[in-house]
Amino acid sequence: MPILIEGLTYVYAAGTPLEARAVSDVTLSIEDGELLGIIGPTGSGKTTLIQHLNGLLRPTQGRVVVDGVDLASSREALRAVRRKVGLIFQYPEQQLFEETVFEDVAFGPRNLGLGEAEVEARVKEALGQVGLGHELLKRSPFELSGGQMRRVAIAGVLAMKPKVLVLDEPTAGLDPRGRAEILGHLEALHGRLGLTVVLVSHSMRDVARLARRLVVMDRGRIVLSGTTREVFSRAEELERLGLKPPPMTSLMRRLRDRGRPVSLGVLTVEEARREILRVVRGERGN
Amino acid sequence: MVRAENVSFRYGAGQPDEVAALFDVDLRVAPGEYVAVIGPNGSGKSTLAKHINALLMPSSGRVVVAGIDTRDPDRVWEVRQAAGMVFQNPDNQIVATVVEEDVAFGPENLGMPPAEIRRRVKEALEAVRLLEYSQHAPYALSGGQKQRLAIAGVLAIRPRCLVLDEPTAMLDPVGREEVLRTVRRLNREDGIAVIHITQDMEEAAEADRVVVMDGGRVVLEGTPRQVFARADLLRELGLEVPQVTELAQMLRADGLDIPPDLLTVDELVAALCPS
Repeated sequence: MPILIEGLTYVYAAGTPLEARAVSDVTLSIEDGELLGIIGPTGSGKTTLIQHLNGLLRPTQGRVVVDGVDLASSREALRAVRRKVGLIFQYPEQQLFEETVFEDVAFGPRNLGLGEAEVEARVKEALGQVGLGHELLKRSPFELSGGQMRRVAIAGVLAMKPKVLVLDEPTAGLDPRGRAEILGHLEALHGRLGLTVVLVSHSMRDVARLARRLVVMDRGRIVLSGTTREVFSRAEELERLGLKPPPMTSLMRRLRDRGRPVSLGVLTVEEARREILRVVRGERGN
Repeated sequence: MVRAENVSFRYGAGQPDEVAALFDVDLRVAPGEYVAVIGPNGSGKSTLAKHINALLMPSSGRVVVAGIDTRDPDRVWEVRQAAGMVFQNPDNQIVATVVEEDVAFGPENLGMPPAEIRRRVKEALEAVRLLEYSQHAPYALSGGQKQRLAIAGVLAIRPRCLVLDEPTAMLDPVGREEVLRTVRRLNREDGIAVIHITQDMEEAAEADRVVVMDGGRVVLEGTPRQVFARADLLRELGLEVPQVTELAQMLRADGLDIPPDLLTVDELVAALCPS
């Protein structure tokens, strides 16, 4: 289910004194099964952009085409796309409202008019996909930990069986374990179900771990894009935008400055370890 | 500056659904010290912080701030003047529609004369580098600027200690850096003690001392080097160590001659490239 964004411009409060252009002439295609990261400073238009992916906002100019269908073409097209593109907002646990975990996750599938047996099957499957057991079904979502509540909220979207998952800062405010759990489940959903995952994040570490391709936004425009390695190796441009490559990439640059022939395309601790061992052992071999 | 002695706290104490949140917590923070508090969600960090500001009172034990027992009902405002608190969400802490009025809110509540209020507002906005925004509307500020405004609001009452509860969690990297730089400067140049709750181990590594909480107890405490050398224990608690420390420990296990307690990129570069 490829997504094509063409010449998208979005202006808030057009024609009023508060008029503000949040997204300017953005063209972007998202392939099937991609793991795409979107980064950029606050106010760069990331959230506005992704709200177009399932038609929550309508472009002021340009168009959004999902699976060959222009979202502006008809109400039916929009409704179909909303089922296929699941959007998870910042702090989604604030939108939990039902008395039990089961009811909360069941809300979406019930609205699709599915039978009770199918609803139950979907709820259990979705909870499993985020690592939550059936023993939580009858619990109040408000008794759970922050990380668990957030996973219940994500399960509510997964129960709609989307093809594309769009997440805005899914790990913000979580402790390291909660963060690692969410990232692990997203990786698995992508790997096992082939879901397309679009991740908006301030955490360079999170995108370094998860995203294969990165788009960098600034003042409503895409200013840099490429594979995650390519983008993070362009430290000067990122720093000009107030972004910083992840610590391991910075470490490699510093070693390179000191004359060590390490690769700059390093994103994770494990990759840094292998690269340093390769260079150090190579020197000893000489 | 801050002394928590055997502090235990139960939410809804005496009710059938009471929940114990702190057990026998001891914490001492010296004047001018920078202490980071880390721990998994639900470990009691925020509950402890609220005791320092007299937002919560111990069920047993006591908390003494600047020599005042927080349970003394006549001196709650003195406690809050000595220990100012900044929370996670910048949007929930702003009360006025103009930046300087927001900062003036605290001193006004303390009944200060207008000339003194003006002086303090100017000083506080200067300290967080927001003086040029004094006539702006807070809603139009960036996240980092809003958090600096929240800090200025606290500074205007001239606290001797800042209690920061995950102040950077909702900020982008620029905003995060702005806030951290501001806090470090207030600590080093003005000698304000800082108690900084964080989920970011790189942030904690910059403190003088790190306190680790789990299940309502302090389970580990020491300099960042001492604490992050205990990577196995931290991982068991669901925490982590800074990535540089993790890498240094791996390389050491691989047989390279590298100390196990490195905290920064500079230190690791120096260890790998001895000059």
